[in-house]
Amino acid sequence: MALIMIVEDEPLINKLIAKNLTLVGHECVSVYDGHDAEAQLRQRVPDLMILDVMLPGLSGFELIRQAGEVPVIFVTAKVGLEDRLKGLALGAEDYIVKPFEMQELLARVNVVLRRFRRGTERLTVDGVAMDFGRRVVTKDGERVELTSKEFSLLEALVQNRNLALSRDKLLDLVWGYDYAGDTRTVDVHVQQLRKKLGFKERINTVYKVGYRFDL
Amino acid sequence: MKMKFFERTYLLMLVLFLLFLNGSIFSLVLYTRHNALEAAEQICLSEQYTVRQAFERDYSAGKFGSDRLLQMTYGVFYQEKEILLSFVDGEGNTYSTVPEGLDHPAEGKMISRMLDGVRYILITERICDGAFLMTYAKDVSYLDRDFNRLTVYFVGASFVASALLATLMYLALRRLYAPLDRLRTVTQSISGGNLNARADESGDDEFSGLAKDFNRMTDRVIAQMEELRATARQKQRMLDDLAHEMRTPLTGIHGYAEYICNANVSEGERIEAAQYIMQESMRLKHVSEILLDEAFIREKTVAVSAVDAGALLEEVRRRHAITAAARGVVLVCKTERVTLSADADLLSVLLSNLVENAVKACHNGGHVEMTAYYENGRAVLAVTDDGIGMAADELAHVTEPFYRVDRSRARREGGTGLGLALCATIATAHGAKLSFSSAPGEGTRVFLHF
Repeated sequence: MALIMIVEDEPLINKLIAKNLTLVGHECVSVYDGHDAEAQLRQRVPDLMILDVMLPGLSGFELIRQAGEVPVIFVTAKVGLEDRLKGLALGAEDYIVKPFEMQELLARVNVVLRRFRRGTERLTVDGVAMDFGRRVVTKDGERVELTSKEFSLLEALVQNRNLALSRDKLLDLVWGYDYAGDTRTVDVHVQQLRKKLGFKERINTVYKVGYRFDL
Repeated sequence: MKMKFFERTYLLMLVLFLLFLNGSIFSLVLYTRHNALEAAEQICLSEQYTVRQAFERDYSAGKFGSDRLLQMTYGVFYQEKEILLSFVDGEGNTYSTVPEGLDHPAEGKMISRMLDGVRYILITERICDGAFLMTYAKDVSYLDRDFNRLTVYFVGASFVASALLATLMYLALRRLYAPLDRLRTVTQSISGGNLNARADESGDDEFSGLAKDFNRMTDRVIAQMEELRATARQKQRMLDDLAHEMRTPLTGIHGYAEYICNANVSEGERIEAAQYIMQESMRLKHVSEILLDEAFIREKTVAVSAVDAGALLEEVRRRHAITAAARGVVLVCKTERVTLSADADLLSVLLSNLVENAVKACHNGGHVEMTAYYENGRAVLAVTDDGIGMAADELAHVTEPFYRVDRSRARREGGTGLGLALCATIATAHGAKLSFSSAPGEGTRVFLHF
């Protein structure tokens, strides 16, 4: 859905981020040092940059100045408040400290992409057209009425497609942290989505984890 | 409130000085008075003698006819000269110009008496072969007046001198104590955090000596503090590095586990992810082992014994021969007969690390050579390779924990960045010095000087 440049000198981490982002439908460019990143930026402007601070060649703090309009999320092992403030002062959209959970990174990527209206927010699967910008879903050309929670649940599942989300995570994402309800609420809403959209094969139950939208 | 040392010294000195001064003045006054009285008595004695001589002469000559007339004549005559006389004959008849109420001294005595605020000196003597008892009396009030004047003068002088003394002594003591106060200001400044403050060392007395000692002490304390701070900083950096080192594998392990758990991917991808997890956990294990080793060596007392360098190098060569061969690297030993006093096990660890690094630095067809020889009578072990070499700025950091010349390559090959740090620790434990010489493209030589 969006073109994301990953600048991280640890191949292990770089690959991990790329794998996850690709899985949920983004296109990734992996870059391993500062100067390469600078060159890549000139060739093809990404929708978002995920940037390590300590890089060979050019540091992340230097590289962000070259980024121009491209939103940046710092991913770094530096935990100091000073570094965090510096990163944000330089215009980074977010700052994630290692070790982090991949779902957290994905969530922040989604937030930033939405804020900047980067990437497409439309997707059609099995004749079901989903427009997350306008919050409209049609099946075979006919509009499907979804409740607000059902729509948010669908959005969460699709944005993290191919990745399983736990019921608790879904509660957090859709109902918010304060929601005191049961995780069975999630099950009920998932059943509704499967029925209304014919997604029985798409929204799968993952044993001991939760639900996953497979594509 | 407790008095300051200065105040105590000052008061003690002042009291002693004032006691001494006023004591001296007081005794001087007494002495002067005593002398004045004695002088007056001498005058009185000679006057009395003169009067007696004259009276006895006139008495023998029978002048004036009657004794009474003679007495009256003398009495009146001498009264004008402020000398008072009294005569008593054998029958108790008395003629006297001496005021009534004054005690008369015993025969042949001289006394001094007060009457109505007037001091008299009285001398009584039997004269004219015992015919009369003559008492001579003289007003010596001037003695008391002089004495009072003198006392007033001395008390005044004492006050002035005391005040002057107190002031001068205060100033002098202040001046003497000034270096102590200055030193105190400096110590307060230092204890207040200004470590650059130093005492004034000018002069050549006990205070300047103290100032010098104090400055030396401060320098030493500050130097030690700096040393401790540097050690603490080094430890902190090591910890920071360690935290950073662990964060990357941990992120990877967690991330790939999450991936296996959640992602809708093929079996092949899952296996790949699992392999990453294993690789990274092995790295963490390796790091922890080396850290433990290093801590162990740091605490350990080196078990020194005579070690034959040739045998040691040969053993290390054998151990690495296969891995070296696999990379197409030739590994050889060239040794003189060198005997070291060292801990063979630790030295073997050190050499293994060096050889491992050397082999990794070589391209296919490279050479690694281990040598042992004597230089200026001291044993030297060296590991030389003809591999990729290092630049000077890289050399400076190689023994720092977690430093890697080529991070991504080192990680690929399972390097922790701790090997040479461990080597340096072992070398230090042996009192030996580890040194490097290298240039990019020209290979690296590592020396261990005992």
